[in-house]
Order: sequence, then C-alpha cells, then structure tokens
Amino acid sequence: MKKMIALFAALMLLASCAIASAETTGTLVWATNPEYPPFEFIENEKVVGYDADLIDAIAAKIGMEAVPESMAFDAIVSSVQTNPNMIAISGISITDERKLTVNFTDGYIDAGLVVITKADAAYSTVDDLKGKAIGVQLGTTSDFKAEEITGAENVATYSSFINATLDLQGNKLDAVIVDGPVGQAILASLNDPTLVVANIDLGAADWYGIAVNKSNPELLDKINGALKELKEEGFLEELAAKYFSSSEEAAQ
Amino acid sequence: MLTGMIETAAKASIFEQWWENIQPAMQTNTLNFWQTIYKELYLNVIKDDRWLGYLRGLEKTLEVSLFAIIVGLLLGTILAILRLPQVQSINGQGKGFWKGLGAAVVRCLSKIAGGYINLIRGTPLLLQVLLINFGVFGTVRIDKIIVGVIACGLNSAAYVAEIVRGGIMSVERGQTEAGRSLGFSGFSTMMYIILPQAAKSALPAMCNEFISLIKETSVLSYIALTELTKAGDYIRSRTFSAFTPYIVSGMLYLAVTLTLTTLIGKLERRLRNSDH
Repeated sequence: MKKMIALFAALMLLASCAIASAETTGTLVWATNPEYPPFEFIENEKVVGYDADLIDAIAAKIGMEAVPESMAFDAIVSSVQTNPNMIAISGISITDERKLTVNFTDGYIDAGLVVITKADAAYSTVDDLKGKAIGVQLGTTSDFKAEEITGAENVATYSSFINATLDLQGNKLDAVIVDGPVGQAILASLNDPTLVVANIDLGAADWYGIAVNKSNPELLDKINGALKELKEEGFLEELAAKYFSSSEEAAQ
Repeated sequence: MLTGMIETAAKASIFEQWWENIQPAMQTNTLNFWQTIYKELYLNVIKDDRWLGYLRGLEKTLEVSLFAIIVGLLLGTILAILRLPQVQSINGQGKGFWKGLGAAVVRCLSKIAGGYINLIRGTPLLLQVLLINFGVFGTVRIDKIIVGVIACGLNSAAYVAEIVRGGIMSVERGQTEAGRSLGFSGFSTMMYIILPQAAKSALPAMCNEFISLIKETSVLSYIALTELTKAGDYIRSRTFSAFTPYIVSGMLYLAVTLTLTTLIGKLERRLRNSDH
C-alpha cells in the first residue's frame, strides 16, 4: 500500500513537471473553426489561411509556438473563457456582448457582412429581406444581424455557413448572410451562376479581433504589441494580397 | 386571472431582484458557489424568456420523434414480415403463371428488405440525414421537420424490423398451425394471432428503440432544425456559457425518456396480467 502511494506521488510529481515544462516552452494554443475560407480552412490536414498566417507571425514575434485547436464556432468563446492560456482567432468579430466574456485585441481586419441570394431574387434593400428565410452560421455576427432583420423564427442556424449556402442552392433558403471575404470565396469555389452577392449594404462595420482570456492581460498586451508591429511592417497588406487579391485566387 | 398576472409579475421581479443582488459580486468576480449557479440559471433560462426556447426545441423533438416512430413502426413491421423464413422461401401454392410471378416478386422484395436493413444499420444516421437533406431533397423547398421525420423514420424502420422479426420468431410455431387449422388465412393468422403475441415479447426492445430514436433526433441540428439540442446550442451562442444550456436540454430529454419508460413499463405489466 505504501509503495502504491509512493508510486502515485512520484507520478503526480512527474505529471506536474510535464505540465510546467509545457508552459515554459511557450505553446500558444489558438481555438479556431477551420471551415471559414479564406480565414481558416484545412489543407493537407493542417489549418491554414489568413488567420493561421497572422497568428504564426504573432507567435514568432512573442517567442511562442502557435498550435491550433479545432472546434465548432459557437464553442470558441466559451473555450477561451474557461482556459486562461487559450486564445482564439477564427474570424471573430469584436462585439460588446462577447467583450463581457473575453478580452479582444485591437481589430486586424474589417470584414463587413454580405448577403448571398439567388441571382433571380433581386432583393435591393434590407427591407426586402424581412420575413425571408435566412441561413447563417450559429453565433456569428451574421446570425445576430439576420435575427435583427427577419426575426429569430426565420433564421436557420447551421454549424457551418457552407451548409447554409448549400441549402440556399437547394432552394431551402432565401438568403445567406456571411462575412464579406468568406462570401466571395465560397461563391468563387462553388462557381454557381445562380448565386450572387446581393447589392445590399447591411451598414455594419465588422472588425475581427483575437480573443484572450480575461485573467491573462499580459498575453493580451504582448499580442497587441506584436499586432501593432506587424501592421507597421505592412504584413497585413501582404496577407490580404495573398488571400483576397481576387476571388478566383481565394478559391484555390 | 388578474391575481395570476400579478403573481407572475411578482415572481419575475424576484428573479430580477436576485440578479441585481449578485451584480456587485459579479463585477469583482467573487461569486460564491450558489451565486454562480444562479448567474448561469438566470442567463441561460430566465433572461429574455430563454426557457421558451428550450420548450420550442422540445416541441420539435417530440413532433419529429412521434411521427418518425409511426413511420418506423409501419415500415419496420412490413420489412420484418418480408424477412420471415416462411415468406423468404415462398414458392406459390398451386401452379400457374400469375402465382409463380407473385411468389417471385415476394422473394425479390424479401431480398430488397434484407439489403435495406443492412444498408441502414451499417451507416451512421447523421450521414443519412445529410444525404436526404442535400441529396434526395436537393432542390426541393421542404419543411425541415418533414426531412427529419423521413430520415429518422427510415432509419428506425431497419431496427424496428429486426425487433419485430425477433418477436414473431419467439412465438411458437404451434400458434401458426393452430390458427391455420381453425380456418384462419395466412394473413389473418399473422394479424390476429402472431403479431399480438409478438408485440408483447418485443415490447422491451421496442422501448429501447424509441428511446434511442428520441435522443438521436439531436443529429437534425446539422440541417438547422432547431430541436432540443440545437435550442441549447442557440442559447449557448448567446450567453457563452460553457455547458449550462446542455444540462437544461439534457434534463428535458431525461424527462421525456423517463415518462416513456414508465408508460411502457405500465403497459408491459398490464399485458403480463393476461398471461394468467
């Protein structure tokens, strides 16, 4: 029995050493939902995209190694909330409601929302969308906007906006609301002439930020510092050129 | 009526009052255990009448489950009868082209039923739901509840078929022989003598299947049907609670399945009484 206890204690000691060393080697675990091209998507079993490049560059600046952790979008904010060392970069728009739960870095891109409709639908104002069935990705700013426009009972919430777009293609929805660059990318890759980005201005600025746990302000400062440097170095323009220079390229 | 309204208003204000009371502790992040529970409860159930969201989800779950069970029972029973050994080896009594053809069709249907059961049981329900939504109803504008009923009903039928077949085969052969010698036709023997007895012995397994089906309707959240699980997901995406909405949804599932278990248990006891 004593031996068992000693063994157990030794194991615990080893485990705590392992945990401690993992912290000191400095891995920066970032939560993401890699179904959001061109910001994050899976290629050759790796998470790549605008956000992935950005967080790698930031991690390099602050001397850490960025490791992605994939999950559903609506789980991301609560994951960061419960784990002090986890951050999230996943095309997350900075909203007042989310700010109650997590801290955000400075915004790094203004994505803006677009409405995708059938080419023959001819909606021209926000009012045309009232009472229409609108598909969105659950818990995104598109979701909140759609609810505001057409009422919660008419919003179909998907775990991935791609399924929403497929249901629009299959006539089950009247419109899909999604972040601008993402909408362009999906249209380019679907290459379906019956779908278009409607000429409707939703009038919403939509800055993406990196979410950091509230109890970790040091990390927030570090990331904000690195982000500022990268902005000054013109890295963000490089990324934009790489990922949305033209919609065809974004689709590849 | 009026007193009822006043009572509701008073209750509501009590919840608001408690919420106000824990605000100072929330600001300083010093909530104690019970305050944390109340905070989660308030945000995920009480605020903005969010409890209504769970109930609407529950309604859809029940709606889909009920109709899927009906579809599954009907189709499953037909599949089970087609899979019976006496049907599989049917060769048409008497001679003649039409009888021969009839027997051939039945044998063929029996093979198809077997293939269907293997196909459905061998692939995940989620896959079947996605296939039916994006494939079968690819360009059809259709209520997601109907998609759910069809997908879950077709799925359940395969399991029900095996349960019913087991039930039928547990009825002694002598029962068929007795029925036939009393002048019942093959069909009437099945309907009035075999199936009622089979139903009794298949009941526990059937209860199992109904419970699974009710829980499995949660995969319909993938096609944006706001059933009970999705209702929890939805509230979670508004409150950013890690898991509280899932606990509420879970308790509602449990309430439904426990009710069903109790009811079927009662039915079982009733049927057993007639054994004596």
